[in-house]
Amino acid sequence: MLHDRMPKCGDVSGDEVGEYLIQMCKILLCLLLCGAIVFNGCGPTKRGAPNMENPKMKEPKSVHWYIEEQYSEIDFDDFGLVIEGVNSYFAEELASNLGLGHIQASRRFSGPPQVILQKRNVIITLWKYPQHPHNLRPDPSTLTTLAEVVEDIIATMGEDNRANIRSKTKDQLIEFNFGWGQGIRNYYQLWHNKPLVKAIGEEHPKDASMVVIEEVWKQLKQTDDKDTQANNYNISLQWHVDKKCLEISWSRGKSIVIEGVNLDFAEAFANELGLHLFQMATRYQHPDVKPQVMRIGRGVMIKLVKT
Amino acid sequence: MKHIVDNVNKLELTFKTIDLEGRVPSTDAIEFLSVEEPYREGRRYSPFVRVRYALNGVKQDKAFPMDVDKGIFLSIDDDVLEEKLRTIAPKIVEILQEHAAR
Repeated sequence: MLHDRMPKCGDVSGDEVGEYLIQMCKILLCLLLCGAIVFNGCGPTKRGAPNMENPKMKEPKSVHWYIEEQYSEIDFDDFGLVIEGVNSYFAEELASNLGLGHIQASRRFSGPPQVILQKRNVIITLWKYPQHPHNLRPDPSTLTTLAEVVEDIIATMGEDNRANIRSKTKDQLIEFNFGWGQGIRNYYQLWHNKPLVKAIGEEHPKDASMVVIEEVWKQLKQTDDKDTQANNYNISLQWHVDKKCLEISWSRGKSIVIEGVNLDFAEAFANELGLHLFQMATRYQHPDVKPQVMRIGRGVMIKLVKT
Repeated sequence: MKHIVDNVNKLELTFKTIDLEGRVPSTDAIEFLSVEEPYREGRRYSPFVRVRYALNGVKQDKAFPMDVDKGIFLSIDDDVLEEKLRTIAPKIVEILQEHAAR
């Protein structure tokens, strides 16, 4: 084919031949580059076939609120989901509903976030499935012993937090009594629940929360997380065909559902994270399962960022 | 533990089997035999499991897919069967939770 287009000697001048050769070189260079891109697995999102499965993708670690930029970020280990168009109260509620305590407020994002994907006018909801053990926490006012409080705390702790506590010496635990300790005092109402403070063996709520922290540390030191980790799957991405929404779930009985995106977006999302996108042709929700739903935002903007 | 290669994902998955026989009430002709949980690199892979069953005493090749987080069976086209399975799913989730807590 190329031979047919090759000019014959004598038909053209030397300049034209030179120009022709330059063009051929350009074409060859383009072909080589395209070949390199294809063989390296880059290029557009491949339907349902991520480049590489990322087994290390972890559950959400914290919720940030950036004061200057006025946006919230759900911080997964390797990436962040930035939500614009919500306020700090939403972020606070989100953190609480995700079981991550309080928001971490910062002045601004440290360095500009590397935006991978973004989409305006989406609806984000947080779903909590009632039968999941992580969502079956007892009413804190019903707890009457130190053992019950400790059991409740350990059951709801993430892997990162467990590892962090385990890595401390007993003397270092005091540093937790300001932030985490305050959370314990507030959640278990230690300022009002005198019988529980007494049952813990202390007079003052601050001392009681310290005893709880030490007991949690002691029990975590005695156990190994290998088994519990093995029973937790990493993040799972599901595209619901009927409802046309992307569900991000992790093994805590919670999901973030994003409506207003299409399958291409969902595939690009999965591809960027190196995760498989499960396509769910089934009914979106079982009629008998009534998850708690928190509407994080309507018509907000989401950005997938590398952190 | 069975060992297979998932051709769709090109991932090596290992399936851990949890026995259900006699622990979940049978529904009509269906007897629930076991649950298979997919594992990859020693960790659970996805919230999905498959529930093996016997129909009229004959073990079936197919399995019912289930989402353990939501406590629901997936892809059951028969509405009558789906309604019957609704009550079964939470019992299976409970067994899996007990098993995980061991």
